[in-house]
Amino acid sequence: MVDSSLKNVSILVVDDTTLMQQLIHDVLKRLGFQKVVVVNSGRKAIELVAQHSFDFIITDWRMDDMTGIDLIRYVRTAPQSRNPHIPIIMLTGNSEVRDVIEARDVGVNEYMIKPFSAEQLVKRIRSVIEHPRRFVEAANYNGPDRRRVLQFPLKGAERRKRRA
Amino acid sequence: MILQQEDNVKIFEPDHGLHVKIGGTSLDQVLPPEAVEAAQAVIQESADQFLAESFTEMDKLEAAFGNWRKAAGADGLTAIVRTAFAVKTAAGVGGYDLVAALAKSLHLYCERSLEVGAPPLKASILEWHVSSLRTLLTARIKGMGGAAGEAVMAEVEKLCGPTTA
Repeated sequence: MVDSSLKNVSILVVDDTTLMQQLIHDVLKRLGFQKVVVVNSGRKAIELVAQHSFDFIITDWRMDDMTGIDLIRYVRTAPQSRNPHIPIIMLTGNSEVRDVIEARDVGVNEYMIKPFSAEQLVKRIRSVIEHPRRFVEAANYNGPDRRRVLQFPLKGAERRKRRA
Repeated sequence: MILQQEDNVKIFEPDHGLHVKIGGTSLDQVLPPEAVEAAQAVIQESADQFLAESFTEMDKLEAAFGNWRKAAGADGLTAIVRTAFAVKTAAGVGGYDLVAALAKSLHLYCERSLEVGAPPLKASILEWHVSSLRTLLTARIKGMGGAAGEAVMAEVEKLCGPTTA
């Protein structure tokens, strides 16, 4: 029998601010996730993803030793990377459009801006779990398909509205 | 499993492993609204800690600004950008939106000055930001500070450029 719960979902959180680490950890625990590992640097994250299987990663962008962008690039492209297809959610204070585009082009799955709400985090996690995207491996891009397509057929009025 | 492969491009089927791991059901089935409310309460309860963090980062910002004034240079400016960004994040999580908006204006103003062809930085604008941030934090003005706060930010944007993308 399959256990319908979040307790076996394993999450790696990467953030260099102690307070933010604690907050994200506590929020995820309250949501029902039990396997939450927190590290304070990109380098430690790289060590951990080489040794353990996580179901998804939540990472900050601005960190002292390496950026979240560098971390994503490593996970997506390094030969040593254990799971290049792992979903990655960027949780950052970087809120410019160019930041979102840069993160998208390096292979992030979801992008969230701090400050965040629990509902916003759940929305990103829902997207990763319920609507996984195709994964593309190419010479200049490794990551989820950047073209977001409708995951379900529109019904009635919604379909007519879209056709209009 | 590979769906498509051509011209050195591989397209893999979506991985539904995580969905299977939660029982193949919708997230709502395993994540009740009460859990989301409890998680949101954690964020709200952390507001005081983030206010304290804002003051810590504010101290660092003032020190960075002082150092930059002594010897203006890219390194000093980077320290201002980093600490302004930290103030923005901490204040934002704490619910001090006006402080966060002003800190964002400061770090964007500094970052833009590093772009090729950008006009030179005005020390007076930096100084105004730093002193205003301290004033707002000390006054513990939550949210955007109403119409007055919105008006201040409109003026700041005229002076320093947009703070929203």
